[in-house]
Amino acid sequence: MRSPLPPELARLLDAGDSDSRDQAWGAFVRKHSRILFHAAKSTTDVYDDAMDRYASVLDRLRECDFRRLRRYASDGRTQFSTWLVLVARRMCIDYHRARYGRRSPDAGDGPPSDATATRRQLVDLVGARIDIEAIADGARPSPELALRAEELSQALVNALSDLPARDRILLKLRFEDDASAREIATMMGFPSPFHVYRRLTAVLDQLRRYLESHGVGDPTP
Amino acid sequence: MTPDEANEQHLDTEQIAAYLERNMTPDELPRVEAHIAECERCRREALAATRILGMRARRWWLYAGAPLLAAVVASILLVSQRDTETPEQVFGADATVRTSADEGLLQVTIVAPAPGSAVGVGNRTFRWRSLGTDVLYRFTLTNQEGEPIFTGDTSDSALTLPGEVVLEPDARYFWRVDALLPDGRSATTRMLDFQTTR
Repeated sequence: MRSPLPPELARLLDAGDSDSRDQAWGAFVRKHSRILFHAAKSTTDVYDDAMDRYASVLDRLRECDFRRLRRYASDGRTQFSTWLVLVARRMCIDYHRARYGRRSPDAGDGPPSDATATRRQLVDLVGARIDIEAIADGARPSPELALRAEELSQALVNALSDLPARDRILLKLRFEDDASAREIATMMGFPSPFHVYRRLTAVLDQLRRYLESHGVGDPTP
Repeated sequence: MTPDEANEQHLDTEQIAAYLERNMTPDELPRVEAHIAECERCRREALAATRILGMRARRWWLYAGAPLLAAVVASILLVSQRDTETPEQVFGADATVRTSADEGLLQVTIVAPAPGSAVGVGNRTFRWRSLGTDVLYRFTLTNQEGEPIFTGDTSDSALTLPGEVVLEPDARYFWRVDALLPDGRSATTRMLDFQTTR
């Protein structure tokens, strides 16, 4: 079912003459400039770049008689603000690629994910202790340590792959994307951050039991 | 893989928006969840949108230089933005930290180390006042660049850094404690700092 159009959007798309269109566009921008600028800022650390991207988003929203906005009007089934933020971010990422090449700021919003750090956190939390640094920095571990690390890593991969998608999302948001419990709750629809922690604890307990049942316990030789 | 093929592998805007609003059919949801679980790009896009939409409740003032705005949009109303704040100004350095009334958060009171204090690299225990029973605390330690060094959960009102966490001498660190109460309310210290001695 299509969401109702916000009044400033409806007025913009229905505007007939150029004066009405300009006024409606001004009202639209006043209403949404804040989240559009937030969207631009989320793709760069440089304030001036954010302003350039924000301006680019406005240009692109306006081009071809508001073609992108009319697309929402025709089949948007979600809230306009949600759709607008996502569209604006993608425009900013396109802007970034046009200037800097394919590497996107959205290969994460911050630094690239560190699979080693993620695995380390999960290993710590499910109760195993191994010297991750010896592996991560390229030092040659002992054969026993390397075998245990590989065994634990593979067991974790298997355990994770058995989890429902929703639990995998939870773990990745928490340990790869560094999302707060509040953000996870909002994004995934948990009633509160407390429910996020409770589910997280349950999933980690499940992983721990899986590892123990597959013979991966204390890695101390 | 061509750009078109890469794009086909990702969720479109409408799918991510529908996921965020939990406005999906029973058939769509498993497919989208399976993708988000495996696709860092789409998951982070959804997370970024969540964060931005969450900012709408806060006061945020936008300021731009007059020439640029004059060239781009003549009808936007301009107000000032704080974009030159130091980390201390943003995060605050009070021991009893202020919590944002706008966010409605309770406060966690720090015991040690005091904000801005100089501590030896061997002082690895952080303490705060307990908020009661069945409270879960999340401790976060970052370096001066804001990069996370250690994150740990505890139900105690103190945490000692594990051995593998190394504090450098003559360095500045930031830390914070977030608390989750049994009734779902949150509390926080905001960011605090300390300096290790030589």
